Amino acid sequence: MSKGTTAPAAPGRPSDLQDEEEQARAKLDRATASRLWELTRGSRKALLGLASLEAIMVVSIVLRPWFLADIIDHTIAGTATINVFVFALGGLLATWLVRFGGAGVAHWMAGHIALRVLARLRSRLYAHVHGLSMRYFDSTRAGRIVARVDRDVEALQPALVNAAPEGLGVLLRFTGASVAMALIDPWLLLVLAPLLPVLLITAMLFRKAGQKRWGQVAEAKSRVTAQLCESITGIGVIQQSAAESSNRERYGRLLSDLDDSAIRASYAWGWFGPFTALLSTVGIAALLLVGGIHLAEGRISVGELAQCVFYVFLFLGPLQEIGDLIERLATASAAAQRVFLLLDTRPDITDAANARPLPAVTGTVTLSGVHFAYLVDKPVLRGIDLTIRAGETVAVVGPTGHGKSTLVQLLSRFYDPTAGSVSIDGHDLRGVTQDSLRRQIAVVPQDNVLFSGTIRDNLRLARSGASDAEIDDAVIRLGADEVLLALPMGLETDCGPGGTNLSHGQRQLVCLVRACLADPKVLVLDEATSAVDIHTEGRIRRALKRLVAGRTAVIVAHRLATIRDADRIVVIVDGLIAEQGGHDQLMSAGGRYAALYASSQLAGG
Amino acid sequence: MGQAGAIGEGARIVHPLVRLLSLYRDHLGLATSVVAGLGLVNLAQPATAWLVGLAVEDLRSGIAVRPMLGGGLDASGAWTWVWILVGVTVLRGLLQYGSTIIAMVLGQRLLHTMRDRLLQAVQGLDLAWHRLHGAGEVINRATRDSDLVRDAIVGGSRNLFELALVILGTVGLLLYYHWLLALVPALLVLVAIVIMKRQAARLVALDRQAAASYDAVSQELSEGIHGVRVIKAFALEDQRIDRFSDRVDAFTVKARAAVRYTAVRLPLPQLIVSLGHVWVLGCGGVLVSRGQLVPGDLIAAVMVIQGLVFRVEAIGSLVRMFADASSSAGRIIEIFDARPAIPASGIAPPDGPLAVRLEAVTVRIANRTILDRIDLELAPGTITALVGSTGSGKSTLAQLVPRLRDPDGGRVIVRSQSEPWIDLRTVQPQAWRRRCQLVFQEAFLFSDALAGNLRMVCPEASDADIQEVLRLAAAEEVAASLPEGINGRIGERGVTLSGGQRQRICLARALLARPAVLVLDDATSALDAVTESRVLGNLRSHLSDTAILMICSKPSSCAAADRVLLLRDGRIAGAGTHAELSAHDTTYRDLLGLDREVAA
Repeated sequence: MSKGTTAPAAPGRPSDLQDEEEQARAKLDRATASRLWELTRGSRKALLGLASLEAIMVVSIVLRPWFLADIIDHTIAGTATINVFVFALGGLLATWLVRFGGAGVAHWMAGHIALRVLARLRSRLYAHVHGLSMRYFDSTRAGRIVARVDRDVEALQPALVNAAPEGLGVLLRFTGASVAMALIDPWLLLVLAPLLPVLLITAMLFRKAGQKRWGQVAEAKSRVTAQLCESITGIGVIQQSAAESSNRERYGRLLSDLDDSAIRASYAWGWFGPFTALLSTVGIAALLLVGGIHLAEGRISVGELAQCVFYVFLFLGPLQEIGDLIERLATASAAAQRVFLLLDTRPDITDAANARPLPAVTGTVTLSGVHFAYLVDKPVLRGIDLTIRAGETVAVVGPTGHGKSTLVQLLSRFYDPTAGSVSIDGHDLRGVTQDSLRRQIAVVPQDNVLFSGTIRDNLRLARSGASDAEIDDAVIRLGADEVLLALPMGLETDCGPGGTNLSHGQRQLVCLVRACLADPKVLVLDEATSAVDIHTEGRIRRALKRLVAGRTAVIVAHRLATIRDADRIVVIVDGLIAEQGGHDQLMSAGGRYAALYASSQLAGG
Repeated sequence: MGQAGAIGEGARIVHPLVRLLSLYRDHLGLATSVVAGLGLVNLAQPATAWLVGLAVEDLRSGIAVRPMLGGGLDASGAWTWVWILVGVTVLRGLLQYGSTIIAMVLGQRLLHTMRDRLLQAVQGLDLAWHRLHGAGEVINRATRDSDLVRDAIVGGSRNLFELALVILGTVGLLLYYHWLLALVPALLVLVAIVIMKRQAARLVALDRQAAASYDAVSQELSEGIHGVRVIKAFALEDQRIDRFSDRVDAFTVKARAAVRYTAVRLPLPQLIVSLGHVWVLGCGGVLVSRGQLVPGDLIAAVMVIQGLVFRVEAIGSLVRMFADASSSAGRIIEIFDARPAIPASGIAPPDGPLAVRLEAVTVRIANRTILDRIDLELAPGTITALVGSTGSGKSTLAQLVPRLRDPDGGRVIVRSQSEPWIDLRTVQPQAWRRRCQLVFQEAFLFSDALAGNLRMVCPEASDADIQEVLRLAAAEEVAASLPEGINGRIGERGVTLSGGQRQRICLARALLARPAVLVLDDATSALDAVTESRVLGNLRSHLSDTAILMICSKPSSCAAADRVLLLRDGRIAGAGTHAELSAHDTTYRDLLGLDREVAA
């Protein structure tokens, strides 16, 4: 786990940032830029418009000091007629109109482009994520995936929309100011020139130092947030363990780390503002010195000197902005790398090129020589041969962590076996489309996830055209009515985000009904009723008996009452089938199953 | 960090944001130096313009650069100005740097206090409060709301202060030159501020609409990722992708409205302020031609007013920032002000083996009676099982024992041997929970080392103690499977554990506290029968003086208990040994599925 880590908070723990940097470091930058450019397709004309607008605004900015010079020179010379004033002030007003009117239009255009490009990218990412296989979701934290589609896409905005027009604007202002100054007095431009490399180099240095330090601040901040979120979700455990004060101390340490890193960052970064201000002043001072001499020599006028004072800001200002722009681009490009990395992630499981839709099956499931490992050196299944006849109910039992749930994952092709094959009615799962497969095989997984909305909404997910009556009927047929209809709002009860308004047992019932509504040929239940009371489970079991008629059912369960009813019981130990047969047959065999059964029936039943 | 009395109670009338701002009171020294430092820095800006004006004036009038006798020019006056300007900027830079650092330190201290207080408040609130508000909402307040408040009270208040100084400095310098120069820009800035304030109110409304529709996007995103297994299982991908795109589109529409409003309306106040620039140049030009102003001063005046034109733009975003923050501050203050139903004070719990009794205990949640005058007693060294159907209030009852929740009626009492009974309400809750452990139905582990997760309840426990409780909870294989043993990380970013493994670790954690009272809330549901009976056997032999309440659903667990209670409709509907109940109580037989049903 531990790679070189910089954060003092928890040694030996690589930060998210480092993880991602490592993931992203491989190839990049030029590729990133061209891929970002790719994303703006469809908005390029608008971008061009934005850039031209920027150019027009720059012209107005470069003109502005000229009006000042005009007035000053005329007033000093005593030639300031009303016309001079009208012309200069009118011109000045016009530059402001162009500047702020243009800014309004630019804001509008940039906003539209950004919203459009980002919306498209978000939808594309989301769709892409849903094409990925379970292995990806099992090995990537949900929060991280959410951050890609959420924060990282947001962070792309400067690179996608603002960077090019702003960069152009910066360049034009710099050029405009240089040309204007050169026209007035080339020497003034020459005096300022040495400041350029100094400013550029320091901007780069600051950027480098800043990036690293702000990275540390972001990392410290994310630790603080993670700890806070965990404290809230685990509040029950904290209070139960009377660990409030130790948790607060721990949080306090993370806060202090955050304080330290933020303050350290400002030590390094805080110089930038004063330093650029100093350079500007040096520029103005140099200008006044040389300009003053030229003034005395009569080569320039007072107005022109004043005009150049303003051009110093225009000349050096863009360079400061470049630093800022680069900073934002750096953030954006880090985000872009993560986003592209996600877009480049290919699903392990895809529909084969020649995949056909699975035709209507009878439901014979065959596993032959199935091996499976999540990690190369840790086999979970080590050669499973099993045929489940159409219409048969098979219970899979065995100790925790010996491969029962893994077996289930293979049936719905959430994973492919590392060796051997799984097939339904003789169709190898790898040769059929995933969609068509999952329409005929329904899995009720261990972790019962509901979506926000009512219970009815959740049930309808399995069959979108189902009428209210059909849904009510399914609830009653499965025997879940006693619990679900007893809720204050019945099936109209709001499940809350992730189903948190319902109890664990209630959620399981909803999931079960949902699976039955899908009317699958093969029904797979992975510990689907573990949190339901035994009375309700009994009702469900009886109902399932009717429901599974004509379907193949694979049931992973701990409760032996459920297991007992199966046509066949398969005991999995250490990734192998240890024994299989009917309940009575296995009991008389006196093997693992008999031992399991005896211990659960200590007091007789 | 102290109690930060500045934001304590009794200040309900005060605006929430002001109450949070009053945290600055604890750091008056730092705050004063920041105010003074930044004040000087920002006034130095008009001062620099003033100096440039003077310098230009000297150059124009030929004082700074003089022709020398033998030809050539004496630029020593100009050099003086160079040194003055550079000197002032260096001083100003040092001051700015220092103030920025101090402002950072101050801001971090303030945030530290606020965040710490927030955690403290959240930790102090009882489970009933948390259940009512939901983890998602509390997390949102603790993260997003407190970020918005942070922006306002640290960055925003500084910007506001600086902006005020720039306006004052600019108007001040103009006034120094000529009252006519100052009057019009000052009025224009006032008008612009009024307009911006109005616009901001509308913009805040638009922003909120956009934010609300973005919440829908986030919600959809989060559910789509967390529920991916279900989505895949039912081949719902296309449907969910369409839904997500719809949400994104809805957000885009709202966000566009906000963008359009800003684009159309914001230029107006900016133009109004820029009229001030035109005014200064025009009026200044007239004053110069009348000899009432020197050209150098005019240049300086134009410089400062031009700086102001761009700074005023920030007013709009500041107003928005504070508007956003004030509703967030309200939500945070609500947490600060929430009164924990269970105060953290009381007497020490009794020593030795303990008995706990519930007397006529009633609990109501949202006007529904969940528990109705329950009487039960847990004796030391006995295991009491509690069964009941899904949603019958078992978990609520479990939380009463460690006082994670207080009953609405009746009382929970405790005593040591033959001492008098003590009402739990008088006992200090943290101290009591160290003696009374509850293992929750849903096993929760922190992202920490395995040992760290266990030591929560007993920081001084040795590695050997930990190995011992892991063995008792039949979880030694979890430690064995981690490459770093008990120091291996579990939870998020650590090794993924199965439900059964997590349950056993949670049980081990409770055992490490050597509790006098142990409550298991269906805490062995994910264990297979063999492991469960091994664990229960260990409990009986090693916790021989502990009073155990075990909420369960399996007959085998009930059989292992000394006594079984049947909870139904909020009341104890049956009591006895498993054998007695299963012999006579049909409800019990039905609940535990003891009748081998004839196929219905």
